[in-house]
Amino acid sequence: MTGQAAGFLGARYAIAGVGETDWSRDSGRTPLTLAVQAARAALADAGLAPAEVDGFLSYAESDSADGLHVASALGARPTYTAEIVGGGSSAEFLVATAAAAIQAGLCSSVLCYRSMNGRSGRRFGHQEQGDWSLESIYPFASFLMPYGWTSPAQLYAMIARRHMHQYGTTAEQLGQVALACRAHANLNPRALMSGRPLTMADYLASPMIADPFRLYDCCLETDGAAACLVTSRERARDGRARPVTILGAVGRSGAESVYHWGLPDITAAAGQHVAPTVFGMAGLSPRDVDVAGIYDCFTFTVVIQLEDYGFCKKGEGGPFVEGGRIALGGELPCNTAGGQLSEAYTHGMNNLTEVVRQLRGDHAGSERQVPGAEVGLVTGWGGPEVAGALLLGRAG
Amino acid sequence: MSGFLPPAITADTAPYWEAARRHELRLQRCGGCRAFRFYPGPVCPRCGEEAAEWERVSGGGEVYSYVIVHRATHPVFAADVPYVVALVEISGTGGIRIPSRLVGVTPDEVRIGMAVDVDFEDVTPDCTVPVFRLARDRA
Repeated sequence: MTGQAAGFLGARYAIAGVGETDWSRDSGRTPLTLAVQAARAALADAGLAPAEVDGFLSYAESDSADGLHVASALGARPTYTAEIVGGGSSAEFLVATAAAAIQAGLCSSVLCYRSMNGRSGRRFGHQEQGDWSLESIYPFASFLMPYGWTSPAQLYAMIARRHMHQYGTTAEQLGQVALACRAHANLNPRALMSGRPLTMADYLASPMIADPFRLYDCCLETDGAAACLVTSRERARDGRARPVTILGAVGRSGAESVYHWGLPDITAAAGQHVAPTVFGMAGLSPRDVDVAGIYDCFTFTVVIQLEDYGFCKKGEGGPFVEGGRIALGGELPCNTAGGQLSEAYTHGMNNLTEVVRQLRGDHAGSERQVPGAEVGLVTGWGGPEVAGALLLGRAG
Repeated sequence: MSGFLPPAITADTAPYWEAARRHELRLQRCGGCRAFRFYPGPVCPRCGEEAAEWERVSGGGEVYSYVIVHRATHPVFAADVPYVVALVEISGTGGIRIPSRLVGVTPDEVRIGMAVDVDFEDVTPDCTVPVFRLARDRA
């Protein structure tokens, strides 16, 4: 149930539309073109004209198109634009910031987007590409890079190994996350991995990348863009699509050190600090969540966020994902478009757009629809030491 | 360790790397509350004290976690795979963990909790990096 939201947002803001481009490994288009295409799809979904949008928020990752240029290409005149450094917690950060900016009177309708050629352009973790440096993300990167500890897979596998050691988490449990996302992608014709079923035997036989991570523990690398449009609930009601209410939003909330690997317990992510805030704002608990988009740059990040957001106890994420619990038809369907593991990697924005669609009932009549979905959780993971989250509700 | 990427050494981190060139492992230690800290920073996050020393530590420790890298994401490490990167918890520092490479081991024999000792590899005339060997190989 959605209930009456508390907190500064007061459920006054909504996501009025969502949209994306096609997903590919070689778009042949610029990030600007991809951003504009996703923006136009979100605007059409919301039933808004470009001139009605005055806020533009995006990711500051040096591989995208900034808000001023996207606004200009669309024919909009912005009153507020910003590019934020947020990594995988950016989608939530953008939506939280959009609502706050509207509340502050800086703008009235905000396009939040992520656009990149993540496969044909700059690839994460590929340090040989001169414009990408781990040092641009982590001040302590110089203590990692000399040793060949340079990629996201290597950074997160270190945490996964410790979790396996402390709690007995198994490869097969990580595989359950890969299988659920792939099964979902097979219900989504737009997903990059659509039409490519995955079995546990396939998962276990996939090559080791950064042991304990195999190939299928790692997300895709994708060219494309995804966008959502945030506006007041009143304005969203006049739009074309059924709006989805923002019940709780936490932007970019950190642990006590950016050097996660030195924290007392590296098996917990910053989601543990975000969860009480976002659930408190909404007056909801994990039991109320019907569908979730859990940041899945790796299978393992889903497992520990389910713990940190309170769906199970610390250390029980492995058993929690067994038995189809996070697959469609299970207790907590997660990443129902295929997620970043099997739909597309967009730094989290595609998990957000899918939760919006679930809450609107867009997939009604298909296996992909979570029946009666009223509350959705979207989590972001911007490195283990920082996180963001949104609680979204079907508008009454 | 044949592949290597040079660290970007800053005014904050230079004492660490200068000590490594002398084959010493030194960690920053608060001049007030005496807590060690890593990575280096301008002030103690625990007590706010600005004064700090670079104290030499024994360099013994244990493997807190590790990853066996099978796919190098930079060409300079391609010849090293599979190699083991590790978080090593340094004895006598209140739980400071530093990232490093385990050398002289086969990936299959590495376990969490293994005792290790620091060693130093002079990777270039200008740069030495601390690495770790199994304590059983102690000379």
